[in-house]
Amino acid sequence: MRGRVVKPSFAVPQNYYNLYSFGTHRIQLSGFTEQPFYNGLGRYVCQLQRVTFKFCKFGGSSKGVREFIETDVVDFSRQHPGVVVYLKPRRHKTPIMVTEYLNGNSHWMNLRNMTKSEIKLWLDYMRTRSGEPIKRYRKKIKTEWPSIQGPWNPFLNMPSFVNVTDLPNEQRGAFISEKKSATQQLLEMAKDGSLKNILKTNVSQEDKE
Amino acid sequence: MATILRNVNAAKNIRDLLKKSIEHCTRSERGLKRWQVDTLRVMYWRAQSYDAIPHPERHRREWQNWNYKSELFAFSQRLSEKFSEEMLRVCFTDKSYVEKEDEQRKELGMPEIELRTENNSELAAIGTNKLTPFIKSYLRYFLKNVPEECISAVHNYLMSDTVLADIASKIGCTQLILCNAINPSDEVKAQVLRALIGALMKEKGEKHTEKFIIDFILTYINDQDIMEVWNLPQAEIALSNVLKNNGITEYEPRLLRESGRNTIYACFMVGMYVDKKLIGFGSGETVSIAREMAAYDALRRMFKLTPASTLFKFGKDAYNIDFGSSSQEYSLLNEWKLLDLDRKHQLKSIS
Amino acid sequence: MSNLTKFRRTQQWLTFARLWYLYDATYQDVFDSAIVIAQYLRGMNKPIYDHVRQDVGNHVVVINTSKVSMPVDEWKWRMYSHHSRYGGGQTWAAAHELHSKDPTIVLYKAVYKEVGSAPRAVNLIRSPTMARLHLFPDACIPPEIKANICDQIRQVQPVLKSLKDYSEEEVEKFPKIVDYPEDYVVK
Repeated sequence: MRGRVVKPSFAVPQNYYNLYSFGTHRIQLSGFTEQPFYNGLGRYVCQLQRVTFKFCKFGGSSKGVREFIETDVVDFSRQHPGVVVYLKPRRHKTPIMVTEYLNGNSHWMNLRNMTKSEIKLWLDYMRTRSGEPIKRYRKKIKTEWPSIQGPWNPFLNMPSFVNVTDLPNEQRGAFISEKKSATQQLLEMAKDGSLKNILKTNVSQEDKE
Repeated sequence: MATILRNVNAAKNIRDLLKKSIEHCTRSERGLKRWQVDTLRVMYWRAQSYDAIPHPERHRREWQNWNYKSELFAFSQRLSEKFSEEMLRVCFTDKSYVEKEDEQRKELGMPEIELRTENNSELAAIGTNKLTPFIKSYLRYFLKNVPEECISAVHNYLMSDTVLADIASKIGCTQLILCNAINPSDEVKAQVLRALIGALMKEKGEKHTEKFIIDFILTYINDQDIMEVWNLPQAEIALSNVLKNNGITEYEPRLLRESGRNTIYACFMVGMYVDKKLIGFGSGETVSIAREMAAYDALRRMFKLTPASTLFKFGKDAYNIDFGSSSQEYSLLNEWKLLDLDRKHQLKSIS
Repeated sequence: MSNLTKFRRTQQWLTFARLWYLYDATYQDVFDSAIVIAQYLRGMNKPIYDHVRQDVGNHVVVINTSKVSMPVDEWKWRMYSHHSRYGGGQTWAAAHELHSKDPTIVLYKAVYKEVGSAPRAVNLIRSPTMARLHLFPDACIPPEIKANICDQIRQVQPVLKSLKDYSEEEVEKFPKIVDYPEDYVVK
């Protein structure tokens, strides 16, 4: 229905989305990258700022998360001290992971029945992301200067004599054939003087005599 | 349906209407009618949307998963810097926040002991004092053929609140700032970034701060058109002045190309000539605009601000450069001259 | 107004400028010329040509359309039909008949065909494209249109000369390949 206002949930902050929020392959959000393109010129700043794991202490679907917390989460924090990790146990619910990025977006992800190694891979994927919604890039490059030499213009390679001559002009407009015509060849031969062999003026009579 | 319409007249508001229509449907002997379903659904959603209470905006710190101490630690680690926690707390405390806290305490009748009066304005002043000369000397080091106006214009751009606030938000300052608003304004964010630089000056010294400025603030001019940032007005007058300073009194604008002269999308291309040599060309919808742009292009080539020739160094390449050598101011546009060594090279004909 | 700066605006203006071309149709094949003219009209001579998103076409001014040529007997055999939308309202005219009535219409129809229709049934770009074609039966162009022209399109075939166009001196000087034998009787 048009003009419908969906009630915002009090539990969830804004800018939440998941992998499929903006569509997949055919029908998908498209655009250009909005990242600060100076990131990495000086110092690289990891765009992931905090991760929250919500899990159950008893549930079977949270088993992988619990194992991950027992073995890997401390190593992760040591390797990436720029990311704040929060652990939030809650009873009898599916485990999830929420990653928050520097551009203000949050990415929600379901971790139900995932193993330890799977979670590790997904977390690594989330850490290396920019935080932009997943979209189809119309171009893989974003630059203020698409061309160093300057963009093409329609006057390029146009001979400058056209500016001062009165059109129509034969030099500019006449047809240029790839091959020479018979007339042209004949005229050239006449100029060279190589036409003698062809010209047969009373040759047969002279021979008879 | 008729009964619903009767109810519409009787109902006081939408919620009342909805209640009555639902009652009607549930109490009728034959249950929900197919032809009533669509109407009821529309009415349900309208009631939902009109009565929806806007969700009050809350700061991130009001959520359960928030630890300010670890957030501050992660912030300094993210930038690979080692700020002390106390200093960071001062940096992120805005003046408005302190005033607000004081007022609240007075209202509650609490004793005025341990009032936190420190805010980031002092540190920001230190940061500004460092930023201004360093940015200018950095720009002078890489832009050697420009007048002083250009340097100060780019400096003002980099020091503007919008740019500094953008940088501050991209390194994750927004949610850490303590101020009276939930979403801090550009001024507050810019102030925090200046304070961070001031804090580095206090804690780590000058050399370390310069590295930080190169990495986070000066990288912002990468890929920007400096002539656009400068926004030089009246290019042709400026060009004639510059040529006069170099002993060239005459220059000649010439119409190079034109098309569609009598149409609304006419296009003209004008070239600037000195001694029968083309020094720049520009285009436009009228001859006067094209002439102005030709002068603009000629100046761009003289100042060496073409995209191919403006080359800045960032990161480790720029750490060991001595920018102090370029602290001397350039001459202003009215007195600006081409460098003697380059004069022939700069005024050469472009083909 | 756009938020482009003056430099970028003028750069954009230059790149997307529509040029005005001249084409001399003297003794040129109608259908071959139409192919070339349609390319310029649609802007296919530009590297920025885009058949979907934008119209980057040029203007073409064609002169001497009354002198166009057709191969062999095409003037005789090519029929153009017209329907008045009344019953029995369809009429046909040979190319030479049509050409004698309006010396620009044969070339117009040939270009109209070559500009072509898009994959969709209704081509929205066709009429604005055709509006950029200016046809003149002779060499006279109105001065306000002539001032717009900046370049010329090359012709598609050589302009042949008839014997009348050569002066007597030229005819005499022309090299001789064969000579009639003495006993040859000229009719």
